[in-house]
Amino acid sequence: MRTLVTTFALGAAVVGVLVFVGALAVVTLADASGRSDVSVALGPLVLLAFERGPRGTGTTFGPALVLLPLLGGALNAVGAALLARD
Amino acid sequence: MISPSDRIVLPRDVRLTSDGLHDPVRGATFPLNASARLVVGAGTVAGAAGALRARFGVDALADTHAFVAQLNARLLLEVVPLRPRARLAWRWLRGLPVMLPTGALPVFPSRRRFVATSAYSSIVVTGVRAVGPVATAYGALAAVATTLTLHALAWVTPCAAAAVAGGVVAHELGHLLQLRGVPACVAVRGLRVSVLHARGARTRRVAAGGPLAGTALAAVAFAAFFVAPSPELAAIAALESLQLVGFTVLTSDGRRLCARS
Repeated sequence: MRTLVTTFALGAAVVGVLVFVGALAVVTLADASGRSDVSVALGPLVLLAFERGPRGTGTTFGPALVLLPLLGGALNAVGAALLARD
Repeated sequence: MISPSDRIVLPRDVRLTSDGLHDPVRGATFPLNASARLVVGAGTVAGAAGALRARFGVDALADTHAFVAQLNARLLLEVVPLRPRARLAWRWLRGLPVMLPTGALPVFPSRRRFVATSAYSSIVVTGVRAVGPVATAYGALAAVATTLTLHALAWVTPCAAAAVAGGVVAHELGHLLQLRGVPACVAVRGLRVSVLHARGARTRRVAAGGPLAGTALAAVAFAAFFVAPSPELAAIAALESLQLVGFTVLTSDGRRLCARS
């Protein structure tokens, strides 16, 4: 049980940070390259949306930012469980 | 990838003793028979085959070649061509059309790079010297890849090269710094880098050290980004953050951590 929780937490933390960092990098690159809008989504779930308006830029982080870490944690825990069985 | 004209030499820290080849990192001695001693003591692969022919009257070039390759794969013998980098790159390219249809790539000979683990300062100096060439190669590859794919954003190229090369050095130093006082060396095979150390020596700490050091580099890049935001620092921070994958089962470091936590 401890292994399962640890590996889930590790996977979730890693994916969470990576998704957040990736989102920040995309927004920074979009801003630097002068794009008017950028949107990243997983089907209906929005990850991030960047918009350039007349009064500046705006970024929205969507619900996929929460779901992806949970998915990453689950996959890491499953992988560790499979490894432990071998 | 090994040619008869290649020089064969013992790695700096491996000794030929009366019992065989002594590896201080593994803390083991590998026994050698008379013909194996002839091979290890010869200057080149062809010279070793010649010595065997003179002593035993057999044509053993193929067997010598296979034996040298085995010792090299176990990091007990170095294979050094004349002008090694250019020669090995040419042999790799020449072997590619032969190996690719079989679903494999030509395998570079292993290099064992000495690391002095007596003090942190010596680990840093010898570790950077050991990892430097392969880190430079990774940086060059990152520069080529970003030039080809992101040519509209030319400023990304030097950032990617610096981030990737710096990340490789930081990662391996992270492992090595956990091994102060434990015999260790860096094993390089083509672009594959690993740290060899005694079995069971601080395994989890050593495994965590690499990704932790890389993540620390990412944290520094992030801190710099928040102090003085720039796309260059964002790109470096994003690339260094990929070291976090080292904590998951996708990597050998992560598998050591997760399987034993």
